[in-house]
Amino acid sequence: MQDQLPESSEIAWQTLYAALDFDQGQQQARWADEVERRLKENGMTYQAHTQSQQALRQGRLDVVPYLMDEGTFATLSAGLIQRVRLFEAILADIYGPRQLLADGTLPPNLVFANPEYVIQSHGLELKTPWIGFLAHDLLLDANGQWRVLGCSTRAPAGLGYALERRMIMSRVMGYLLRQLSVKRLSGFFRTLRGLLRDESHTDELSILLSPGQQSDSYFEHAFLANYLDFTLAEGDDLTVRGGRLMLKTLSGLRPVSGVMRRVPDHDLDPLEMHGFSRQGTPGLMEVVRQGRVRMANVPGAGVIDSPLWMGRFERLCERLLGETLLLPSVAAWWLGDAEEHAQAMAIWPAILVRHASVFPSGPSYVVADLSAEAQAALQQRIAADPAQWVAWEAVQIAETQVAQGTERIAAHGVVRLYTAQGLDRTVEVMPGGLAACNRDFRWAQLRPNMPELYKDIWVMGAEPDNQASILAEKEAPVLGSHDQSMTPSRVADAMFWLGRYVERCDSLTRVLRECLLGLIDVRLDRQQAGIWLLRYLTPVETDVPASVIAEIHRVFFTPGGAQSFSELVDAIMRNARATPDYLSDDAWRALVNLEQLIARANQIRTDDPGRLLDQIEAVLMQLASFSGLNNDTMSRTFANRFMDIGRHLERASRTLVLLHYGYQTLTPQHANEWEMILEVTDTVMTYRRRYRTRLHPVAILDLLLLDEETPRAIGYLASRIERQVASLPVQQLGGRKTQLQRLGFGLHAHVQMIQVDELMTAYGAAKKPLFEQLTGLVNQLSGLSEAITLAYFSHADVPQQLLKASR
Amino acid sequence: MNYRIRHLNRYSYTQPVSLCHNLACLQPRDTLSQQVLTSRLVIQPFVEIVTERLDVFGNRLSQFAVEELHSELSVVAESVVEVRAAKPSVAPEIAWDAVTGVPAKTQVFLRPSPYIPAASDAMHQYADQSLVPGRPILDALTDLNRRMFEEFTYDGQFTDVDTPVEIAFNERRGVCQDFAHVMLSMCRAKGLACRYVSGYLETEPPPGMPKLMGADASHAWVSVFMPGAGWVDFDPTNGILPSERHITLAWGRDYGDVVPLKGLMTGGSQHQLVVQVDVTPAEVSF
Repeated sequence: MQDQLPESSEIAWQTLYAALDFDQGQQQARWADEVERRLKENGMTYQAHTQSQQALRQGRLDVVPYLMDEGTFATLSAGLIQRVRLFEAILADIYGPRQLLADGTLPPNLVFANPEYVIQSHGLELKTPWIGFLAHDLLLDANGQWRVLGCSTRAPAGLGYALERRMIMSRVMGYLLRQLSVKRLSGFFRTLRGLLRDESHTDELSILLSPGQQSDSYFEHAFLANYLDFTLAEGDDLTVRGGRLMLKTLSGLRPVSGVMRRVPDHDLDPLEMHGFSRQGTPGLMEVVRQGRVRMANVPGAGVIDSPLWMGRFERLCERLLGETLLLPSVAAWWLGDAEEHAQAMAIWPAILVRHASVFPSGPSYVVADLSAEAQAALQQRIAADPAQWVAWEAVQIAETQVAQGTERIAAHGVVRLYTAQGLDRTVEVMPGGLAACNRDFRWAQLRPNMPELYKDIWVMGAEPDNQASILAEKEAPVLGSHDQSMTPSRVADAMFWLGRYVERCDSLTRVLRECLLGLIDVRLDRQQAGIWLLRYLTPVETDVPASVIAEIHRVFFTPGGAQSFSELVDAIMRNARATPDYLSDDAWRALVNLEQLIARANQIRTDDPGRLLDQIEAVLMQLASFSGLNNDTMSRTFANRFMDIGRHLERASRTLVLLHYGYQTLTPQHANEWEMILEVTDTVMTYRRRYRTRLHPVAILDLLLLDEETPRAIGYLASRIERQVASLPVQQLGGRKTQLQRLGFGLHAHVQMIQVDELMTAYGAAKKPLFEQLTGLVNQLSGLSEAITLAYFSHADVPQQLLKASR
Repeated sequence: MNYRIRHLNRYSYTQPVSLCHNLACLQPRDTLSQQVLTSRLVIQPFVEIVTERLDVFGNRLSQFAVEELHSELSVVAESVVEVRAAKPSVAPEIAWDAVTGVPAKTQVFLRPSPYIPAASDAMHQYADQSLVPGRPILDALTDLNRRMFEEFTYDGQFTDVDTPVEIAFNERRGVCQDFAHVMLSMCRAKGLACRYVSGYLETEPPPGMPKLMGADASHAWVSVFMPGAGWVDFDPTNGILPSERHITLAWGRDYGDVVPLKGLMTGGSQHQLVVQVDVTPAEVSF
């Protein structure tokens, strides 16, 4: 291929290869390792973000970029821009006057058999483009002709990954990007942002609507939302009021004026669409119809993704735009048309066959590779509903070089480029993207979404660009972060529970550590104390230390058990995933480590308590690291405040319950047990410094209940909670803040009013009022928790379907 | 003949509802054989904005949201419709399997739809007995219509609005919606363009008895496209060809396109739905 490239391009390749081949190709190998390492490092964060293991991560990144000179890019751009204009015209007709159907230009089944045809979009009168965003797949055939393979309206369709991979490439070989005058990607994002954000109404929000953490590309959504400075939202975060789309935030309902959408059309509005989905919100279609929200892409635009169209764009372009199609499509035959069917069958099996499901997913076959029986079966499936199938010629795709160690081998790449369309209908093409490579050109064509390898596409400017800014793509959002009070309520809710579960995990780990330390002690009284402490968590029948340890394994380290660590860690991860853009990468790493530690602890044999203790210590380290990171490196956003409140409420309840248990079951003579209480609450040192006496129940109560300086004491926690609650955002409606404030104040005042000598005898026996006080405080804590839920979180507000009237 | 139609839907909730989005298809459309003289929608509690639009099939839809706390929602459609006896169309002698020339826009009614997936083999075979090769289309479909009336049992308890067509077919029972879906499924399997019609049927009171208010129900039947004759209606629930006692409300691919009233509520816990339909001959002439 290289001999056909223009001269400037030739020089670029030489520069690139010279750099890669430096040191007998060792440079290429080193860079490849570096790219791999960085990708893997990110991968760990991804894994934490999504539950799915195969989350679009299978494609590795080639260290050899895909170079494209400015001339080629200009040619492709012109072609893609024309296609976007063509698609707009097609969509306007299909969902409008339907001339193309009436005059026979389009076979009706091309529309009606299309799974992405949205009948509810008929009659939409749009002020915005249908296609704000589009991903195009192109290939260069062996004769040097560019052809279009297909397109995908499903925003963002890999855009986040393209951005991420560019960042990796510029970290590894930034100087090459500069040397080759590689164009930056950020301008494109400004266009995209401009379409969806109404700058004249700064109080209005733009969101990225995601199906949530069950989606394979959830990380990409979080990444893009962050980059564009959009709020990452899910269906439950939204509601329609007064004919406008609203986000439920901590400061009440806020109008949304732009939606970048990753929720499928048919799930957008459970009122209008068939079936019931919580990924959208009822009334949304009507808001779109009334032009009161800008959406990319508009529901129904996905019709043009269908591979069924491919053979028809030339005719349509002439008919609708009066122009010749600039970029031809790969030859394709719709099998629902008798004539085209015959043409495809004439060259069977030298064809590729794909179902009409949305490009590029769906069943697809290299017919020639199928056995005779499989071919017959496929023929039969096609015959059942030929309108659902399309055949492609298998294009001999031009070769491209991919790195293998210090060498390079040939592969075939399908190039994915992106277009964005502004409100004024100007179309911009992103100068860059990903090339999906495969050693078998037929699979490269058939499954561009599942390549063996990706390449970063470098579009080179004609002139060397002197600006240093090319070096690295900005990682920070395009603009400064928006108002914090716009945090979705669901996120605050998840943060609150994340705080609670992390604290629960911490408390459980501390208790188990003390139990085990007691149980492996040679002294009988220490062993007994360990069993006593364990009974605070779970009933234990036996007194034999080995059996008690086995019981610990059974109850806490068997995955799936109601009290098990795995359940707790699942809850932690579930809530963390709901708040992806509020936790730092380091905090994520701590959580991933925690998950792995627990998985390992579950494997430890019951006769190895020493190893179990080691794991427990390691768990405590990770929890401490997570908390430390949160305190040190994160700004004190509202969302974080909810996590703090969650932690403090949980910690206070744990301490109170432990005290209740201790004072009910112990006498002053239980020195080991009292010490364990101090160990669990991390106050041994404080106690020794402060009281300089033997352990005494009255002094312990004084410290753990009333002290305002000791982090696990109720006095300290109550004062923190009071302050945190007072600093929460004021709800626009309801005036509940004062009630919350009162509850916080009441809790703290209650603790301050307590007099220890009224609760304890001088000899250290508990009086009845102690338990009443402890229970009262626990109730106050749950009252606070409920009040916060009521005021700030939106769980109850999920729409349900009414019975349908019928017949 | 003029009819006055009052169609009431009332939801009662066990707990107050703070937000309810609704979509109604309760106001009749004009057709070749009927003209809507007046029609209005009365919603309680009062809602400020009711957005009206025509869907892709030309049905009249009304969308509204109740945004205040309420524990009951009632939607009443009151219409007066003039129905003319359908002109006796030239009974097409064309064989059902020779039908061609379905207009492009009408071809949407050839495809399976959300409530009507592709017909099972058993449904094919059932249809085969009436749709024998070469038989004139009107004759064939009248026969299928009659057989369904005779062999299926009307049973208001067996199905609900979301029961799959195949179950209603296999058990040979259901209500008008099921009868219509089964017949549509069979017609589409045989390559005929056909649509679901929702509407009303004036029912005669027993002799000597006063007509009971609310006794009439909303109804559903089938309409099949016949080149040359246009759309011809069949009512498999009653085994008849609809006459001037059938009043059309709306039509679509299936029930899902023309649900009389659907909604999503926030809050409310449990709820109940009461539906009343009264169809009375209207004395007043406009």
